[in-house]
Amino acid sequence: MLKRKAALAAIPIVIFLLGWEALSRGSLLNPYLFPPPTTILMELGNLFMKGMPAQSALLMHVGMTLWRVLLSVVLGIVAGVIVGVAMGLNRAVYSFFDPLITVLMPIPGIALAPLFIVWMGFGNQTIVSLGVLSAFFPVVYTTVAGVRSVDPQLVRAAQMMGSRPIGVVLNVYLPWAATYVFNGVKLGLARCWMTIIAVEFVAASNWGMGYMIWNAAENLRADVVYGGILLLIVIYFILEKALINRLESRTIARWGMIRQA
Amino acid sequence: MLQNENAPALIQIRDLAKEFDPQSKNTVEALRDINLDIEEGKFTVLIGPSGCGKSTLLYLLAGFEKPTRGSLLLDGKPVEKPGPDRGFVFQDYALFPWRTVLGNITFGLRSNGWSKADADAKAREYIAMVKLNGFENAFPHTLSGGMKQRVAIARALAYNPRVLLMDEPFGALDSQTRKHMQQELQRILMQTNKTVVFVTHSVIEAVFLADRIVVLTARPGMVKGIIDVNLPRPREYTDDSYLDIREAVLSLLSEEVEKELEMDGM
Repeated sequence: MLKRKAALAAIPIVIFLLGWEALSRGSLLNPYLFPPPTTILMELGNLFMKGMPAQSALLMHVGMTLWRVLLSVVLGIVAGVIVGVAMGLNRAVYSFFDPLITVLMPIPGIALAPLFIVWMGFGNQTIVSLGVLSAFFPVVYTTVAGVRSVDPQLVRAAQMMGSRPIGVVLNVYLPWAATYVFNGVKLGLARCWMTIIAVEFVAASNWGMGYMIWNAAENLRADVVYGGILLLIVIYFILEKALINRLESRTIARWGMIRQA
Repeated sequence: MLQNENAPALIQIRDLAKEFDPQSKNTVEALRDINLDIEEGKFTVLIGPSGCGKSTLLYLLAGFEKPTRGSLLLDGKPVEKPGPDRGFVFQDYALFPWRTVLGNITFGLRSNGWSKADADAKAREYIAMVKLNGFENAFPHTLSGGMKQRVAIARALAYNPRVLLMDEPFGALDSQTRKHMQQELQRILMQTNKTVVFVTHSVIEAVFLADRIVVLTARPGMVKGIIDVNLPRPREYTDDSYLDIREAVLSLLSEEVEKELEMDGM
């Protein structure tokens, strides 16, 4: 059933790619601006082999971006959950942070890049800081909502059994909020991903998917640009399926708190 | 109403009153002048028309709410907040969805300093007592309502509280399961001799389970009357001697239910 669905979803993509290939090979599309998909794949292969066996250029780009994204997301989640729990539990903390978050959240990460470059220069510090910020806001928001929606009977049950306040937070509020936090993490990952690729355009030196794409465009290598974009799609898909969906099925889906498709 | 025996009662309630929003115009007087002793090892049922404050009284005993006036002593010490000298069984179970059956039952023990191995062993005793062997590692959402309430009862008993507080624990169950759970509870309590305070609005349930039935008036809740049920255990539903007691409880209750309907303008 699922395989059938996947096959159906692949049909339009295959038609699109075949059409592109034919139009580009027949020069109905400018092959410099729209190189045929097979050429793009070949170029990705070349990039992968470049520098091998010591270090593949392509793997270096991908690895650097992945490392930045994962570091940013982890730091953003930790900070977001801590602030979110404090806000959810304490009225005063909430009143203090809520206006700040409301004002800061809509700023796209990339819009802060010039400022951060002035502060911290080009490189990982700037990129990861903006990544953390992008992941942080959605996690705070959803964590606050999750903590506030806790079933009061579960809190009472834990207190009745002698759980200390910190135990109630760790054993009741946090697992209860997990469903919400996961939604925040999904949003945070998407925002962080976008921010990091975009900031890599302007602030990365030598490595990173964003850097690779920008650099290829400056050298008029459309095939590498497309190859980079293709990889972005594949990597993000894997990140979400492999990381988040797996985590969900091991926790909240197992606890019967959501139904997983 | 007050027991004057040698030992003071396990729970002593004196001149207890509870008002919600006492400062505002919309003050609701839930309980007035409650004086009650609850004796160790006895099964006490609180019954009354809906909205009479019987659950409020249980919440005060639990420490979930604070009294407006009066005092509430457990073992001679005032009840101020929830704590492991009491166990609570909620109508909607309140199991932790993220913990297995075993994990739910060990929670109270682990919170009170038991090692994991000791807590697991103790929890398994209680799992056997409520007949849930084989479900140790099941998550609550996979269990039926009756099974969930068995877990909740085991969870509340496992850390050996002085008193078990039960808030309409079988109210969400179908009538077959409910009857069965009443018999199971009777069996469990005959093993553990636990003191129980049990809220219900079912007269049949009250008479089947109770040593003593406390009938509360319509709002504000006051003690209307106390009926002792001196029937031998284990009890059966088919026993004729219930009928008289049921009648006595019902006649006390029906006056109050009529009053409540008048108050609602019906």
